Amino acid sequence: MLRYTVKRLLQLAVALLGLTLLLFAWFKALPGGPENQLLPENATDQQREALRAALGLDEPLWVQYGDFVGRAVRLDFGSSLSSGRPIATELADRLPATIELSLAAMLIAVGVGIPLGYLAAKRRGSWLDFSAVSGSLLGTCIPIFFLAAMLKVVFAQELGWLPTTFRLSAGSTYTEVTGLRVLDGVITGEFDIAWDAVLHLVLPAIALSSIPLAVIVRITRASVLDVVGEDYVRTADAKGLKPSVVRGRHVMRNAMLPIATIIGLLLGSLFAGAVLTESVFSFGGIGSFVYQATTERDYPALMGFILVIAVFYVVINLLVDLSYGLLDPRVRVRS
Amino acid sequence: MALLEVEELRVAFGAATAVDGVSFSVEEGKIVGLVGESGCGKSVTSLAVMGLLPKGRGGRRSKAPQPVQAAAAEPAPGAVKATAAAPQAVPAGGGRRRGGGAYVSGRAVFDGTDLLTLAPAAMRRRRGRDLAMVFQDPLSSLNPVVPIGRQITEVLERHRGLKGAKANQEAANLLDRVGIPDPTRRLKEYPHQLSGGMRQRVLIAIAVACAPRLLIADEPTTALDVTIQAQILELLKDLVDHEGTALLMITHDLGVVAGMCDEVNVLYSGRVVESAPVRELFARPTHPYTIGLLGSIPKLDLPIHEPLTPIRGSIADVIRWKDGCAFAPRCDRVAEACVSGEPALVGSPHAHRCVLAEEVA
Repeated sequence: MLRYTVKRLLQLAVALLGLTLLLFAWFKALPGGPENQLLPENATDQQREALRAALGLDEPLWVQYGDFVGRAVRLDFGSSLSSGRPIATELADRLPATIELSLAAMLIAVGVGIPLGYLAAKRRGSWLDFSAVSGSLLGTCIPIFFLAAMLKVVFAQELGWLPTTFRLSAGSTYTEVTGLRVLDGVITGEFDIAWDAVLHLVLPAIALSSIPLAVIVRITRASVLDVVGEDYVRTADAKGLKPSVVRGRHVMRNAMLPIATIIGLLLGSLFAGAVLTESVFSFGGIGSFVYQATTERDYPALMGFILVIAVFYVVINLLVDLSYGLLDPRVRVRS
Repeated sequence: MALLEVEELRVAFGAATAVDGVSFSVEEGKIVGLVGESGCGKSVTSLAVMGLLPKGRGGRRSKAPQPVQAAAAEPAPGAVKATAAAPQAVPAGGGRRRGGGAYVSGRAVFDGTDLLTLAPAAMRRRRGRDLAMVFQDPLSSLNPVVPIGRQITEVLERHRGLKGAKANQEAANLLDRVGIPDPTRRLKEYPHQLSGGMRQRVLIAIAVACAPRLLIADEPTTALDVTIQAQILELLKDLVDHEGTALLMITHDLGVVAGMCDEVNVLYSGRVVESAPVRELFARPTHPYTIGLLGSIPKLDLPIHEPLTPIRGSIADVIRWKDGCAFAPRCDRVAEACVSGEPALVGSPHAHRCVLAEEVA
């Protein structure tokens, strides 16, 4: 297991190095360098040259790349061109919001998706199965920003059941511990804050969960259908075990293998989905920062963001692979 | 009275009949064989007795749907045609089926109770305790992600109320009893870490964990090496001899039948075509199908160029017993009398279902 983990960590390093190369090349290939953004349109060529030199853009490419990687390893992504603050600080301030939102969305997707997928499989061909399958198709088809906007209009603006924007109501005093506000509220005993944070999370989390929910329903359904036809489930029935034991120990424990893989992949993609959801709800996470950076061509900020997301993605997948060893003893031995 | 009396058991999947009125009985301390080729209905019979078939729509033990029932009740020409024309094939082989449940009728009286009428919960209390089953493919029949110890203790917990260390101790005893060395260490292992023979021993340990009065073994040695086969059969025979367990042995292997069984029922196309004590069957096989089965066993002492003698053709998809013998299309001795009417099962204790039997014998 240790050897496997080390091997996977090395693979991870290689993957990230490749990513920095790709990122660097991509940004170099983009038209309209940062000097056009920073300088007024009537700037002279000398001014442009001077700025390029100041930013190190006149160095040979490999020097620029080495510099970029060297600083990235020290979490130094430079300063945001628009706010002037260090990008690492900007990201660190906003990361907890995105993590909280993504986890909430995943909680909904897993909590609703797995039982629903299981029921759809068990009652295959029923109206419930039909609605789960067609509902999940719809879920993957509706663009997140549209769904988010609709949820906001209906449940926040028209019905007024839930807050429209931000992570807490205006004027709340809040003690930061982890930055995950629901968790912080519980830790510090400020349960009204925790509840307020939950209310603010509901709509964005539902919007963000639509795609993972749809995917989990379908994967669970297919996986359970596969497993219930297996001989060992028949053996479990032949033992006269209670249906709950057959379901938990024999069906779901096997059906979880593909579901676990897909959850890892989805969790990574949630960070990307968060960009759209957060801007609709002014959620103040990484997403809205990226949205701003994109519109303002804040290249260093974008690079920092993409790198951080990539690290998350790769680390989550490593965790999934390792958890696979826990779930499936056959993988454990082979590694 | 025998421990298990199966009477007129009928199983249909939609319009396709898989078992068409099978009757046999198993007494305590006896081994009874159900013999036949793939698709003859032997596995479905055993699964029906265990209550392990997926239930048909509209009730667990509902009667067969209209076309089949009409055909079974009376040879009305229209109804028969409907059955014969049904496009669905009887799913061949083992018990794995998706969609379309089974319609089971008849009786399977176990110790005075008709198992087919028991409620699902009552049947679950009996399965694994009073009657247990050993399956064909030991690898796929064990849960790959649960240690084998847990797969044994869960049945002890369910039916004998044993928990924790006590259950583990008993599980180790069981493994020891079925001939697995170092049982305590094996308890923590997973099925893929055991050999095929070991896995089958584990399945047997699970089946006998609650000392069932009836054990059903569905081709328990088909997936194993010949040397392991003999060990597993010996183990099953021991259980019957020492515990007085009744054993229903499902197999296509007449060698296994000869070495193990007291009574044999030969199944063809969902019906018993010959039933006899084992010596009697091998000494005087009567039905042409039984004769064909015996003849198709490869003989080691034959010259190498001598071709094997199979039964030509293959088992029909849809059971067809109403207008003549279902085996007639494959039978070498087929006569005018074979292709009309329904051959009856005649004779006792050596019964057969062949109108030409007297001449054949």
